[in-house]
Amino acid sequence: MKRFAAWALALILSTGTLSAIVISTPAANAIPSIDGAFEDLGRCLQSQGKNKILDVFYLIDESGSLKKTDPGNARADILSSSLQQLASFRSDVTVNYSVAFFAQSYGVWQPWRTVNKGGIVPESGRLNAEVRKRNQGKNTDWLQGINGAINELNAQHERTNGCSTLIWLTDGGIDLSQVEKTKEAVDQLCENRFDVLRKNGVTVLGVLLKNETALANLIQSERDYQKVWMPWMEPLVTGQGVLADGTEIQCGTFPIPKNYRQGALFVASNPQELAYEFLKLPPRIEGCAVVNNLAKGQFEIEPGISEFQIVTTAKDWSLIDPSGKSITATSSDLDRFETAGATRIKRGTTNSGRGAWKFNGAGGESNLYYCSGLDIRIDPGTEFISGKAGLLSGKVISQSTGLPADLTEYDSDHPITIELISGGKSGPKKEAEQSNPASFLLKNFTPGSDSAEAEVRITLFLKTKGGIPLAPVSMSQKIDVRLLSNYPTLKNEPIELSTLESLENPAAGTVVFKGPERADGKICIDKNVKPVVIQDKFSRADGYKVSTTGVDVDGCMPIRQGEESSLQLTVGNPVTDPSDVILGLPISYYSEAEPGKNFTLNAQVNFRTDPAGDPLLWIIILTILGIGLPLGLIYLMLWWATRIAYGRQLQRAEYPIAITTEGRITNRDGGAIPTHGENYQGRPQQADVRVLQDGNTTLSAKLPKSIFAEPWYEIKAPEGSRVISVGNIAPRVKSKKRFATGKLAPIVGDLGKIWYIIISDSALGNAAKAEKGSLIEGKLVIFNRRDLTNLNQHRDSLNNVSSKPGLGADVERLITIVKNEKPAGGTGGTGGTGGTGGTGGTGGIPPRPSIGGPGRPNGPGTPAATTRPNMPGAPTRSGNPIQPSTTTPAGPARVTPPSTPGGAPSRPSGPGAPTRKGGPGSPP
Amino acid sequence: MAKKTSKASFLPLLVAAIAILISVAIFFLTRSMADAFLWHLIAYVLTPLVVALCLGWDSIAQRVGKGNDPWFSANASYSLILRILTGASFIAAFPHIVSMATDIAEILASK
Repeated sequence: MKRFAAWALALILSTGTLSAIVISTPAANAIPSIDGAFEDLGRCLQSQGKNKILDVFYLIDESGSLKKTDPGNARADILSSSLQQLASFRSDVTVNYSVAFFAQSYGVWQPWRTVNKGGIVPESGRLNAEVRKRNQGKNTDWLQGINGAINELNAQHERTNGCSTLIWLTDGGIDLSQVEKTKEAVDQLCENRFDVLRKNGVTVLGVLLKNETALANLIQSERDYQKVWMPWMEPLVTGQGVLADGTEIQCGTFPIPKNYRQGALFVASNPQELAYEFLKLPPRIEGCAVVNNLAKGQFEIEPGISEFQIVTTAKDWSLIDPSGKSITATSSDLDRFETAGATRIKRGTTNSGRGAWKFNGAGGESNLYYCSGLDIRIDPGTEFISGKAGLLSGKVISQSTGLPADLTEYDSDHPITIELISGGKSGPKKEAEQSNPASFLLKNFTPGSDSAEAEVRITLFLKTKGGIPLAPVSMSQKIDVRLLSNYPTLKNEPIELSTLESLENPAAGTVVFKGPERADGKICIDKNVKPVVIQDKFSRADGYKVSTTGVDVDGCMPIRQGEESSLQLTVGNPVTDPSDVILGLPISYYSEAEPGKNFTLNAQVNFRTDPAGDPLLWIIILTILGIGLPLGLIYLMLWWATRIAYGRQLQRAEYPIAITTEGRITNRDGGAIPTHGENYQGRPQQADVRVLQDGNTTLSAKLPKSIFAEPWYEIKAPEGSRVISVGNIAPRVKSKKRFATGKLAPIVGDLGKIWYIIISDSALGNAAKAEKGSLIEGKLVIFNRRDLTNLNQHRDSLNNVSSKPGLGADVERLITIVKNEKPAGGTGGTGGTGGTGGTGGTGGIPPRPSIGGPGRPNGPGTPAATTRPNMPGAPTRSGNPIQPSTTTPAGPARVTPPSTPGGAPSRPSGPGAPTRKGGPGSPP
Repeated sequence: MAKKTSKASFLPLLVAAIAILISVAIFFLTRSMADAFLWHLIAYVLTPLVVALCLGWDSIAQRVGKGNDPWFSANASYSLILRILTGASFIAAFPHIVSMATDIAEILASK
C-alpha cells in the first residue's frame, strides 16, 4: 500500500537524480504540493484493502533537445532501474506499467503489462535500449502526450480499478509548430486536461529537466521561448504557479478539491539537494512522521514504532544501536539506498532495536522519521450509501502481519475520526468508538451527501507513550449515491433478537422491511453469510450461524412497492457464554427500478447470549467436585505410595540390654554389649510394606488427614511396654502429643535405619523407685543393611544408638509417665523384658532381683544370649571372613566396656521369666 | 573401589513446576477464548493431577532408592517443595475448574 507510493517516489527520485545529473542550475526545489500528492497516493493504496493495484504510466519526452540536455542518456539507466524496483513490492500488490513516448507525436511503446519478478530484468533492459534511441523527435507536444496518457490511464482504471500514477518526464517547455497552436494547447491543458487527471484520481508526478547549461547554449530566441513556456509546467501539474512574466495562474479547479488527486513537480537543480528532497518523501508516504530530535544525535525507539528511517546527506555516518553495536554504510543488517550523495537508512524495530540509538552524521543534513506500520481496514460488507444509515466498523491492523494492532503500545489518546468529503469539501468529523484489541465502530452512520462525488475518510491519530506524534493513518472510501426510495428499507434497526441460550434455543426475531416507494424490490441474505462481529466479550466469531425463514432458495425475499414484508431471523452459536453481542448482518438490497444494481449494507443485530436456567448451583457442585476429585485421588496415591522401605540386605539384631536414666546402654549386668555378625539375622528381600509386625511390635506408615502434610512412620510398643526409637529424638517430630505416652514412637521410613528399645512398664515402675542411675532392663532391636565394606558395621550400629543425644531424658520421661499413670489392670502381668539367660561368662554385675519378677509370664522378653546361631533365612555368616566376632571396644563413652573377658555373667532366669523359645519377643 | 552414591532425582520437581507454568499460561491464553473447555481440561490434568503424580513419583523413587542402596542420598526438601507445589497447583487449577464447571453447568442447566 503506502509502500507502492514509496516505490513510485523512488522512481521519481531516480528520475530526479537523472535530472540532477543533466542540469547544472545551482538550486533545486520541490513544489510545496508534493506532500499532498504522496499523501493522496498513499491513502489510495491503503484504501484498496488486501489486493492492491498500482498502475504506473511513464510518459517520456523523446524530443531532439534531449541530445543537448542529456547527452549521456543517463535517463535510460535511471528509468530502467526504476522499472526493476517495481518488482520489489510486497506480494499482495499488483503493479502494472506502460510506457509511451511523445514529441511531435505520441505513441505507446509498451502496452500495459503486469510486473513479475522473473521477467523484469530483460524488460528493463529493453526499456534502457529504447530510451537511448528516443531523442530524435521534433517539437514537444505536451497536449498529445497528456491526452494519450489520459486515455491509457482511463482504460486501465476501467480494467483494474487501481491507483493511477502518471510519471511525466520532459526537458523543456511545450513546443508546437506554431505559437498559436502552442497557446491553444497550453490553455486546454491548464483548463481541462490536468483537471481531468486530478478528478480521475491520477497522481501526476512531473519531472522537468531544467538544464541551465543547455539553455545557455541556445540561441537567444530559443532561450526566450523556453523562458516563456517552461514555467507552465508548475501550474499544470500542481494547479497553481507563476509564469515568466510574474503572473500567478491557476489551472482547473483551485484550490484542488479534497476528492481530487494533487500533483507534484520536481525541478532538477543541485543533484545532492534534489536527491535529499526525494529521499525524504518515501517515509512520509509510508506513514512515517518526522521527528526533530536528531540534532542531539540521540533518539529513543519506543514500543509501537515499527520502523525508523533516516535521510541524510552526510557522507560518513554511523549508527549505534541500543546494545552499543556500531552500524555503518558497509553493515549488512540495514536497508540502505544511496543516490547522488544522499542516503536513506531504514531499520525495522518491531521485534528488536527498541531503546536509545545514536546517530553521527557530521557534515550533512539529516532527518529522522518514525513509522507506526499500521493500516486501517473496514469490515467486509460495509458500503456507504448516501442517506442510508449503517454500521461503520473496522480494525487497525499491522502492515507486516495483517493482524489487529496492539494500540495499548501507544498513548491512550488515539482517536479515530470519520470525515465526510462531499463536493470536494470536508464535512463534520465524528469520532468512532474503539474496543479491544483494535476495533472501531460508528453506529447509525449516515453518509448524507448532495454530491455524487463523496467519500468517507477514516483517520487514526497516534502518539507514542513518550508523547511523540506519529503520522496519522488514513484511508478513504467512496460513497455510492443511490435513489433510496427505489429500494426496500429496514423498518426496525437495530434488529433486536431474543436471548441465545443454546444451539436448540438460538437468538430469534422478526425483521420487517418496508417496500420501495416507486417500484418493487427485494432483499437477499446469503445463506452462508458470516456476520461481522462488532461487539462480543468472547472470540467465537466462527461459531455464529445465521438462518432465515420466509425467503426463497437463494435467501431472497421480494417486497412489493409500498408494502411491508418480514422474515424470521435466527442466530445460533454452540458457545453461549454470557455477553451482549452486536453483529453486522450483510443484507443486499435490489430494486426493479434500477435493474442490475444492488448494494449491501451491514444491518445491526443485537442480542444477548446467556445459557438457560440458573447454572450457579451446578457450578458450585461441579467446582467442589473438581477440587474434591483430585484431592481424593491424591490421598489414594499417597496411601499407595507411602510405605516402609524394606529393601535389600536387611539384617536384624536383638539385644537384651539395660539402660540408665543417663542414657547409658549396657548388657543386663552392666557390662559391655558384645557385638558381632552373628547377632544379626538376615531378612529375605520383600516388597515394601505399610505395616510390619516385628514380634509384638508393629511398625506402620501413617497418612495425615491433610494431603499437604508429611506422612510419618511409627512403632507401637507391645501391651505393657513403652518404646523409644530413632524418631523420638529426631528434630522433625511434630505430633508430640501422639507420642507422649511412649506407647507409640515415630520412626523413619527406611527399615534399614530403624532401631528401637522396648522397656516394660514394670521395669520403668521399678526404676522410679530405685535410685537414679540404676539399670533398667529392656530390649534393643536394630535393623540395618549389610555393608560388606564396613567391618565394624554392627558395632557402629550399636554405637549409633547409644550415642544419640537425649536418650537418657527419654528414659526419664517414660519413667515419669508410668509413675504418673494410674495402675491399670493386668499391667504387672504383662511386663517382663527380661531375658532368661545370660550370654555366658562369669563374674560381673550380679543379677538384679527386680527384673523379670513375678507376675510377668509371657512378657515380651528378649533373647537370652547376645550371640545367636544363624536362623533360617539368614544369610550364611560362618565363613564370612570380614565379619569377625567382636566385642565393643572402647567406643563411645556411654557404652560400658566389658568388665571381664568373655562378657557378662550369665543371669539366672527369674521366676516368671518368659520362655524364650517361641516366646513373643523372639524373632521369627 | 569407591562406591558411587545415588541421590534423589530433581526431575519430579522440574516436571511439576513446568506443569504449573503451563497451566498458568493456559489461563492467560484462554481469558478471551469462548470455547476453551479442552484447554481447561488439559490445564486441569496438569494441575493438580500431574503435579500430584510428581509428588507420588518422588515419594516412591526416594523410598525405592533407600531400600536398594545403603548409600542412597534422600532429599527431604524435594518432598517438601513438591507438597508446596501440589498446594499451589490447586490455586492454579481453580480458574480452570470454575471454567469447566461453568461450561458443564450451562449444559446441565439448559436441559
